Amino acid sequence: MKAGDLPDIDDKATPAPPQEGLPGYSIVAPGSELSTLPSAELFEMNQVAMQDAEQPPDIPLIGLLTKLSDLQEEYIRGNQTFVKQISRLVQQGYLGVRRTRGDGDCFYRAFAFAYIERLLKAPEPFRETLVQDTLTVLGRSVQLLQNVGYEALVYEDFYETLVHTIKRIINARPDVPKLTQRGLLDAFNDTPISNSIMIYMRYVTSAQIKVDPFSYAPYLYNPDEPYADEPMNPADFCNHFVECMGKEADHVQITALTTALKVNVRVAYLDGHEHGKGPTADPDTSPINFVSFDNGEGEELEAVTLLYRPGHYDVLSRMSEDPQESF
Amino acid sequence: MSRRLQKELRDLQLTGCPTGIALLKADDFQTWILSLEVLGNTLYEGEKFALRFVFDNSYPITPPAVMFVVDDENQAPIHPHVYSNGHICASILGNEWSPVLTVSAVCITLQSMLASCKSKERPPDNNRYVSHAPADPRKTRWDFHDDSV
Repeated sequence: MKAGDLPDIDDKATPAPPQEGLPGYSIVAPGSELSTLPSAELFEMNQVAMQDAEQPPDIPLIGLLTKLSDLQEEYIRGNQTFVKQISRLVQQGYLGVRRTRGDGDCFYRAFAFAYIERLLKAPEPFRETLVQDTLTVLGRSVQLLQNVGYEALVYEDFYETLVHTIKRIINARPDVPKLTQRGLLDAFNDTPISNSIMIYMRYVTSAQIKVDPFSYAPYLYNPDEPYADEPMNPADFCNHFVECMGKEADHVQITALTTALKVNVRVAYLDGHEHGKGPTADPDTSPINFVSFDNGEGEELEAVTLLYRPGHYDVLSRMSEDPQESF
Repeated sequence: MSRRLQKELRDLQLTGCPTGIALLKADDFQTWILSLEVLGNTLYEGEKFALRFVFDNSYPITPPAVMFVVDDENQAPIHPHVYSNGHICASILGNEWSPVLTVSAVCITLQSMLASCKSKERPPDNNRYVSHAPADPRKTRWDFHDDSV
């Protein structure tokens, strides 16, 4: 569950100023072997690459599916380990990526989108039951929030927005359009709806940590002080790094959220490191570091799959583009 | 119009404000004024302040603009995190805002900020800040002072 060799990072628009004297922080010489660099350096380089790409400020909160090979081209002149890892993902059948805005909320937004999308894509005879099961689990999450002392008025509007969106999958009310792939994308790019759902995910994450503090306490380090000796108090951690927008999620938050909502999540870590070390490691066949959070109930729904690059999460898909829909 | 603010107003009217807090003006869902006293044995004993909350349409996803009222009748408390123009340097009103916070919760937090004050003084950069400050304190990029003060 611990972050392992990954740096604690967030992807807010303004990267943290370089900490002078931090071991491993330096500008990388051209041609240096990237795969041997410490994660902190890879993180910095990735941030620079993302800034160079000059994302316009109006980049969608969640975009259309794009080919994973297009993402690969962005790294073609950069980190070759990223390029190889993307090739491996494509070989494994992950053809598309749905990119999210790098605003620090990307994990929660990407997760929530994929969480609803998999219901939308569930085969017809099972879809209604799966939607009802999901709504039942969500109903229990309200109890969870109450148990840790949330006032109803701080969550009920957000909860209603989430439930309303999910109910649209099976809803046949004439005044409410049935949810389509396009409609889901529109909802997640409608800032108030999108943020309401994203914040509810933060609340559930926070409540799960607060209700079970002993499971999480040893892992709650202040991401702003990665070298601190003592973990943070769970309530403080939640107040500072879960309930506020713009604070990125790490393994702890993903574990808490998937536990509370009983969802399987697989995260493909494109960390720029080659795995399967040793003299026989072949960079072209080095496996992708998939981290699984197996907290789901039942196997009818496929796992939510996300793509992680240092400091950022996108939705990973087996489809290379969104289905054409008639309107 | 924010459903959330309607609920907060109803709660404040039905169950009352926290101790030391009173609603002075809430005629609309844009601007509210609340009075704030710090009860007990503190440096602000006997003083009464007014807080102005300005909400935009995205509240509570974005924080309200919160400042102490400074006019003929009201002054901002003298405190290392409060500027003489009423602006407050507090992380919960900026990058650590969360929609779990309510008007009531913000007032209680500011009360406790004042209650724990050890020495009545203005922030060291008060004059420089006040002469250049934007009207909306949320536009200030605060370099947050030590929370323990």
